[in-house]
Amino acid sequence: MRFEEFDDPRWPLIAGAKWPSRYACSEWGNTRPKEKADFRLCFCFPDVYEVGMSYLGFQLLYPRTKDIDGVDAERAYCPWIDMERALRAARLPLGSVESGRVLRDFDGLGFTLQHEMSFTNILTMLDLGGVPLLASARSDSDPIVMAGGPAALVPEPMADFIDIFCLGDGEVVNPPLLELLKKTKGQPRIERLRAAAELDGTYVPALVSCTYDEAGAHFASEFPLPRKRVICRGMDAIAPRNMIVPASGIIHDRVAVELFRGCSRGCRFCQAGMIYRPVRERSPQLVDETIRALIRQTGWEECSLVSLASCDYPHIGTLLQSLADLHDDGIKVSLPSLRVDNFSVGLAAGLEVMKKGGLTLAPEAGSQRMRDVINKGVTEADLEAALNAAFEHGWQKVKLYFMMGLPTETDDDLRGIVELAERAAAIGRRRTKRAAINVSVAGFVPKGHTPFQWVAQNTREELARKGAFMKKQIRSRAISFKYHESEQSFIEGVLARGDRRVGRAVLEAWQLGERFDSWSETFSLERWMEAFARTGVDPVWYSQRERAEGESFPWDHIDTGVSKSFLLREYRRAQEAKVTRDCRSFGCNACGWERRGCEWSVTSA
Amino acid sequence: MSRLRMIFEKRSFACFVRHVELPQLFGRIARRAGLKVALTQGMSPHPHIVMGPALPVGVISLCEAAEIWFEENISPEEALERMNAQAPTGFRFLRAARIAPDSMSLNKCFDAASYWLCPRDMGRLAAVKRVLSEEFGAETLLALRECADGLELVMHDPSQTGPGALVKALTAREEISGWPEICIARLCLGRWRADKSEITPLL
Repeated sequence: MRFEEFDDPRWPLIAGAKWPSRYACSEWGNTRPKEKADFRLCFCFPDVYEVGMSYLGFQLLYPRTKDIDGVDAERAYCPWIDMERALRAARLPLGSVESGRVLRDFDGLGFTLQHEMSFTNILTMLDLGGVPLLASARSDSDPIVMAGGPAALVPEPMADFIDIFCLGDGEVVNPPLLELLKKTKGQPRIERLRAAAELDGTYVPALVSCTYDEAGAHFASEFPLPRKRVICRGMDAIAPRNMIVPASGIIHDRVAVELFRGCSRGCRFCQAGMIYRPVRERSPQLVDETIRALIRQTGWEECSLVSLASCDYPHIGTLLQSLADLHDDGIKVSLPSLRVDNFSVGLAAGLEVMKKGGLTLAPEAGSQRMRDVINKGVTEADLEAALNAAFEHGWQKVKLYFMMGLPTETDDDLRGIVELAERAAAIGRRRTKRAAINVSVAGFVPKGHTPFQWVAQNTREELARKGAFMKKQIRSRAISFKYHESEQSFIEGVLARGDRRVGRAVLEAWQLGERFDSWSETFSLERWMEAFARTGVDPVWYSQRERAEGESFPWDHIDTGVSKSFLLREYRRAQEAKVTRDCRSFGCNACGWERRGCEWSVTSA
Repeated sequence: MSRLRMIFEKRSFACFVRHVELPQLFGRIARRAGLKVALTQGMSPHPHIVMGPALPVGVISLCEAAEIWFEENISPEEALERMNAQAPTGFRFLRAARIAPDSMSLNKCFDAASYWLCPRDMGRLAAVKRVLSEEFGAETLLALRECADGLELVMHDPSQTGPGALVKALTAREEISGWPEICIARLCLGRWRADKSEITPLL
């Protein structure tokens, strides 16, 4: 062809894809592969490009990996089902964005497990990349398959497919691991894995056996158990200096700078609030500098101050003030989520981006009793104040997020959601006729490493009844009430507390054609049920069984730093609807980190 | 303030970036280059960038047009150099010229565009040529000729008719099944000189 790009065999595939721009590979940033590298790592995100590029973790780890001498990094994303079909039909493998290098030609692959519903996509990427799915089937020349992220802390359902799980902050876990894998390149696979198992923050499932009995799951290994999650203590030392900017739009199309990691609020349903402890703050001066540097380097016109609870950042008010001059250059500042109170709504009111569209608040539960059970430190007064403030500041649409199927829940608690929505509508109507309240209720999924790891997840039938029960009580026409499809939550619940045996069902479901489980258009409950039946895995036993307090869990061999005794204490307090207050304001609650140098337990002691 | 008209190419997989996303992309390139793009007047000010005729996703181009209003006085040469140093893969600014702020708007400065086109199945080249000459009248299809490696053609009014219409016609006549089976490149944008049977380029 006159223009050589048309000779690329991928060209007609992309031209025929449903959404070609996700395969455009047009980016700005330091992405050029090194000519020579002893260890080539491909960061693999098990979802489509525009989702994966919105993930901050790879943006942080990618440049740090390229900075390691002799090590290089590239990235790959999961092709959508149409592109997977096209690649298979054309017998083309999956390669990286940077060079098209096929996954099997890398020395290592680094997946992130952001949530359980991406597990089948990992198998798609391995398979399309020419890498054996089962870790036990890989030869010395196959890449070492690694996985990090939150779901790596409850790793057993993926244990058959992953060589090395990385536990904790990648900034700390990865460099020694990559150095080791670089140095041992060419040696027998099993020896390299054994050496990796000696490092902090790694878990090599092939070297850990597990057995099951009535008391739960039991792990045995010649290596010390449990395996500890490792953390980066100084946030200022790991501030990013550059990011990759895609030419086409992505989901979170902006600079994102972390204010802190961890969260001390102690919401009992929240896995992130437990597994990312302790709280480690970045200094406001460095946040300010980092934002300005990244805006210059990336050209992005918006920046987000991210964390698990950005309104809890003690310097949030002064930081937003110091960033106010960015507005003169057309730069907008945003917060990812808001605390339910007057102060937070006031902060958001000062931010242009936040004023567009609706204001989102997450009371999570409708009754005060239920909010105490889940330890969501939000009072009726906070809610009232936040709603009043929202409409006073001119918002017309308020979105309220709730959960149903929480432990100890009764119909009274569900009525609380309806009442709260009605009250919000009344407050709004006082200000404007156009007030709109969008209520969204999701089925609660219990997760490992949380105080609710013992509880039974509600059945789909219960959740359907609860959703309908609330919906029929809604009176105000200002309220739009939605509750979520619980089929996906059911599968999520099985995978979130699964053991190694569940991996067989993941493989079977994938072989039956399961893809992109977090997308309702591709998810199929029937396929999953067929996979469970074929592999003899009982999903109900994993998700809808109340677990005994003394049961050994298939994630007890992973130590996040928060002790099981703390989680149990919190579980019992939940049953009595007793609140546990934020340790940073009201004193240490002894979550386990007080024994490992948590700066907050020192100051409050 | 300087109003600069710029011609850029969109090559390789970058042609899959949608036309509507380009103003934002150019705003970001300018910011990285340390150049300030002026804001439009009115209720919701946005960066003053005007794009030339839309190009469908999947068509590469050697001659895309855009006008950017920079706050500072900047020479076309300097703008080219600084913007190119910050452009993502596949995008390159080729030419630039300063335009008087009150002169004719970009989209009145051209009336024709030329294209190179080739079906993946070269055996269909003659049939494709025949279909195009049948489907498009002389007032739309200003020129059509076979060359060594495909067809070259000139179409009138690129803001209204372009590669999308060609592919639609060829698909309707079942010469191709759709975009994957045809390669198209926009070669030149400008004014049609009927007397010389050629396009005078915009820049």
